[in-house]
Amino acid sequence: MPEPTSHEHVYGVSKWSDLGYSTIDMLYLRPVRWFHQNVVERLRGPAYPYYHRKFNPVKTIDQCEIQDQVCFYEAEMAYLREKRIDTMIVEILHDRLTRCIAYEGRIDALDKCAKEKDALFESHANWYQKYGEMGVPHSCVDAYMKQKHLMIWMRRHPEIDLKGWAIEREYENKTKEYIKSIPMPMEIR
Amino acid sequence: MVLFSKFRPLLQTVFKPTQQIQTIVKRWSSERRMRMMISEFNERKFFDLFHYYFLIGLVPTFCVVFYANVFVGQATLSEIPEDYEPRHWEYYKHPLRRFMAQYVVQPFDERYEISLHAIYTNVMRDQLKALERKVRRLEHARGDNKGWFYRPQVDGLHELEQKKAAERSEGYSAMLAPRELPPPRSWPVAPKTD
Repeated sequence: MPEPTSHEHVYGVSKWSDLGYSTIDMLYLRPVRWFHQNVVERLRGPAYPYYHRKFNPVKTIDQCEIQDQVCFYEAEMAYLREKRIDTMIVEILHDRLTRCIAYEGRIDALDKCAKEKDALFESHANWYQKYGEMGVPHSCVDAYMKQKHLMIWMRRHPEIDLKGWAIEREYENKTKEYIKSIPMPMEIR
Repeated sequence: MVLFSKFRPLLQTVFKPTQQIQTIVKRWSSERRMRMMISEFNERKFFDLFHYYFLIGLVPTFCVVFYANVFVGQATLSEIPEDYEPRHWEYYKHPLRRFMAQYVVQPFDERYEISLHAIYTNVMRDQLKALERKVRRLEHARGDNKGWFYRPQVDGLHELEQKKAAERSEGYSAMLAPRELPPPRSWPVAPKTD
C-alpha cells in the first residue's frame, strides 16, 4: 500500500492553513486520539495474527502439455495474479510521485522528484510492454505470443529505443528551459 | 432525531395566540373547550417508523461494529510459522471479514479447486464421448465387427433348429428316437401304473 502520511503540520506558513488545521485538530484528531489511547487500547483483547497468502508455483503456459486444460487454467490464474500485482506496483509508484509533487511544489518537483519520475516511467513502460495493447479480453497465450514477437523484433532492430528515454529527457530539458526563460525576479524564483 | 418531538410545542410557545389563529386553524383552549388540532397522525407515523427501523437495523449493526473495532481489534501481519498451514480465514485482517470468511463465504482456495475439478471432469467426459463417436464411426464404415454394445440373447428355438438341421444333414436313422415321448393321457382316466 502507499506509505501513510505523518502527522506533521508546519505552523506559520499561512494563518488560514493554521486555522483550518487547528479546527480539524480540535474537532476530529484530538478526540479520536484521546478515545483511542484511553478507551480502545485499554479494552482491546489480545493481539492475533493474520498471514499473507502464498501461492504455489505452477507451470506457465509455455511448459504445459497440449490439450491440458487444467494446466491452462492454472497458468491463466497465475498470469492474472501477476498482472494485478504489477498494476498495484505501478499505482504505488504513481502515488509516490504525486506525493512528492504535492510536498515540493510543482516547480521544485522538476528538480527534486527525478528519481520517482524515472521509476514511474520505467515501470509504466514495462507494464505496457508486458500487458498492453493486446485488446480486452486477452489470454495468457496472447501475452506469450506478444513476448515472442517483441523479442524477435528487438533482435532485428537492436538500435531502436523502445521506451523513449531520449524523448523524455528532451521534453524535461525543454520544460526547464522554458521556465528559466520566463522573466521573473530572483526573489520569487 | 430525538428532538423532533420538541418542535411542535416550540411552535406553539413562539407564536402569540392571535398570530396562531391567523397561521393555523386552531383555537386556544379555555377550561371547558376541546382543543381542535391539526392531525398529528402523519408525524407520529413517520417518527414511529423512523425509530423502529433505526432501533431494529442501525443500533445492532453499530453495536456489533463498535465491539469488533474496539474490543476485538484488527489482526497484525506476521510470518507463517513452520509446519503450520493457516486456516483460510486467517488470511484476513478485519474481525468481521474474518467472521464472514469463516462462516458465510466460500473459501478462496476451495473455489479454485472446484474449478479445476470441473475442468478435469468435463475434459474426461469429452474424451470418452469422442472415443465412442470414433468407434461407432469405424464400425459403421468397416462393418467387420459386431457392435461393442451388442449383447447376445440366448434363443432356444434357434439353437433347436440348428440341431435339427445338423441331424437332417447327417441322415435319418431308425435308431433315432423322438426327442421326447408324448405326455401320458390324463383324460378321461389316467392310466394305471403297476
